[in-house]
Amino acid sequence: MINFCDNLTLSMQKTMIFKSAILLLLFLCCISGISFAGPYSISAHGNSAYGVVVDLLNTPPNKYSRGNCGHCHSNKHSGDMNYKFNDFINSQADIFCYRCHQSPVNSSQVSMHYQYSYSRMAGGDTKINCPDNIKDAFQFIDVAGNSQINCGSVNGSSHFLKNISTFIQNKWDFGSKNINPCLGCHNVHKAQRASYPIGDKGTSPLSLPSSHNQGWDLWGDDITERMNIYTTNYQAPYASNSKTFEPNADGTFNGSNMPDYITFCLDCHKKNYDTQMVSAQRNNFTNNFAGNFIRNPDWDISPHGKTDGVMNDNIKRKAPYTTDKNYVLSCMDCHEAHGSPNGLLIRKTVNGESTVDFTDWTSRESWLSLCRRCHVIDNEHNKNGGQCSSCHSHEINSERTF
Amino acid sequence: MWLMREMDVLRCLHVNIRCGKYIMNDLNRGNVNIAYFLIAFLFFFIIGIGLNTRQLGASVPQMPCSACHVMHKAEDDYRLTLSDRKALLNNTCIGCHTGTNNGGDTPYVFSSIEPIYNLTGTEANTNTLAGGNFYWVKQSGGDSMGHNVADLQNPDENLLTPPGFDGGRPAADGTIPGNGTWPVGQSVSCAGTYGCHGKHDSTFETTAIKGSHHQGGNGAIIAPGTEPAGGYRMLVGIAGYEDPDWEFRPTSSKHNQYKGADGTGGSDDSTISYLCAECHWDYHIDIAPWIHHPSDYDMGNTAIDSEYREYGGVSNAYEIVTPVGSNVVSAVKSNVTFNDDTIVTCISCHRAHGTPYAKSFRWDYMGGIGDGCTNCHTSK
Repeated sequence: MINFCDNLTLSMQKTMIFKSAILLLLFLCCISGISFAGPYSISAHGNSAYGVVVDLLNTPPNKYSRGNCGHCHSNKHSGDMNYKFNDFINSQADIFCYRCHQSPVNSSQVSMHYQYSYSRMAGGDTKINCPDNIKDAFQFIDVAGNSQINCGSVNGSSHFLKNISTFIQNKWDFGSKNINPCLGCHNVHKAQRASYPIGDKGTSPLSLPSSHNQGWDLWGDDITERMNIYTTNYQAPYASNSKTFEPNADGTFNGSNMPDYITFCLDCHKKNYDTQMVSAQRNNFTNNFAGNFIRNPDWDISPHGKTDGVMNDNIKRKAPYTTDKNYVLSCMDCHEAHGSPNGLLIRKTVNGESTVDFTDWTSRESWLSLCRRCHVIDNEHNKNGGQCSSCHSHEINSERTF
Repeated sequence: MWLMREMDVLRCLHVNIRCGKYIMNDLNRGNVNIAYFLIAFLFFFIIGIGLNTRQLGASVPQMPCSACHVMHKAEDDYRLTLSDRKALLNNTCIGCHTGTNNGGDTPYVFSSIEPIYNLTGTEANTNTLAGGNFYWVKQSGGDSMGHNVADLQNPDENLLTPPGFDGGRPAADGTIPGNGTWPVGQSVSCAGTYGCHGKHDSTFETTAIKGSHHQGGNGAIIAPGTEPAGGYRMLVGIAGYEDPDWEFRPTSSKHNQYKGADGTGGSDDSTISYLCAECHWDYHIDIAPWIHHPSDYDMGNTAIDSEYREYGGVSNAYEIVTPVGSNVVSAVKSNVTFNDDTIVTCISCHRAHGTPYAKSFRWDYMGGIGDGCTNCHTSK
């Protein structure tokens, strides 16, 4: 009788449980499960075809799939590769991202490709072979931020990673310490491999630092984030020696296939932050021309920006800048992002020619190697005046130089 | 707690009264004297109270004593070892808990044939429980797929001591795994000195969990005390809400509710993560900068518009694939509010016994690009 009682109760309960289970399972199907798709899966690191795959972690007994979190994030205390979550930056010579983004020979990434400069990648100049990877691009300065020999240059320049880390500290929810400086420009979970946006939704490796606490989306991938939106007066420079244009070495010249680098760079390099940015390497290179603080340009009032120089100098400019109008340049038309054998991150290749040798601030020839890429400057022009910066700067009134 | 138990008692009484009605109908049909019925009714009424009251504090279904115990050594056909014969038991932990789960009264943690785990062990056709199953870790090359308990297989070939073991993390009763020292090559056991369940000062597994099968609580374990019987799943000092069928095919509204404590840095010894930390302490740090994934950290600490606030989708439903802990465990939570109820725990990603996946992950972490990680890291 006891069994009868219990069985009867159990039977009723099972009926109720069964009915409830059906409803719950339907509900479960709607709300539960694993999320598989997301921006990471289409990022350069998460892509299943060419994403991150560290050789040590893809060799038995480890079988981490390509793109797996474990290639960068350890789930062990000391890490599968003996680095930890906070080992983002030790010095200019050793940061977390270099583990893969270095010479393909030494890279932890399986089949790492070369990572050339913007002069080669966008400028199309295949003669530029050094630096050929991200780590080397940052080695034009030493751990203290002073120039050091690299790629045959003793006056090269790189973004000083320690300063970037310090600058973004406590800004935009980046945190207060141990900030990976690469995050200043790249959202590593969204950054995409190709940097040549085509179409309404292209690809981009960039993210605005100020968007870090606002979704931290890509910058330059959307059609509204390109140079032709920043200004209708953009003219892309020539790519290599052909009559095609950067960045794709094709016929597009209005910047509609190029991220809006002005907005991107000025996110940090705007004059509000002048006193928060110091650069010993720049000050050394310019012989203390403008002090330790970087004076960030105001592109609205720069003749290379949105203000017309009113010099009627169209006949003194080279193609493709020969129309009589105010051309607005992109930062990347003249500067590298990571590092350059030249001072002040000046590119080796500008407007299709890799003849820029900007390694001496006081040398007229050094300046001419750069400025003559776009301007017709005869030998008589201020021939005793020294460097071009004596008269010209980012801004008309020379308040903000370089 | 007292009130809940009383309500359960009343519910049981109601069931027995309903049983009595069925009995009465049967008896009437048989024209049996009403006096016999009253005697029978009172008998079952009293017995019912007794049985159901005992059930409230029991972790075992109603079984005859002989299901677990032998009375005389002469009956010892089971050929137990001396240690296992403690309490006259006729089998070991694994021995009793080997089988295929079907939603019944005995939780099976080891199956001799491969259990159905599907992708995450939570799908409708699965037959594993909250801790997973030891089946996979027992297979050749399966060392990393679970805890290598001594009753099932040899020690882990690579992990000769528990990773992160520091020997100074006592349970609530003051006992420390290994008594503070873990011999190289020592296997983990289900309970006892080198085990998870019960007291750590007992060499014998059975004495380590003494009393808990008979007196253990269920439902909300809010004040676990220092005895195995008072702890969540016989884990000394650990709080939590016990799902009555050990998460057999769980849903967002029917599951264990794990205890977490935000930002305590491991000082709260009642959390499920602390249980893990007793052996794996060096994983248990929640203070930034993190040198590993945090545990006992509430995702409610993040910005209101952060990616973590999308845990569980628009409705912030409890994700059974990636369970989060809560500070309050008096009831199961179907949705989370990011107010001390979205606490990352060790078992948000791992299962304690074993899974088909490396590191005893709940999902195939190595085989994809993270997959289950995106349940919290939603913008990825």
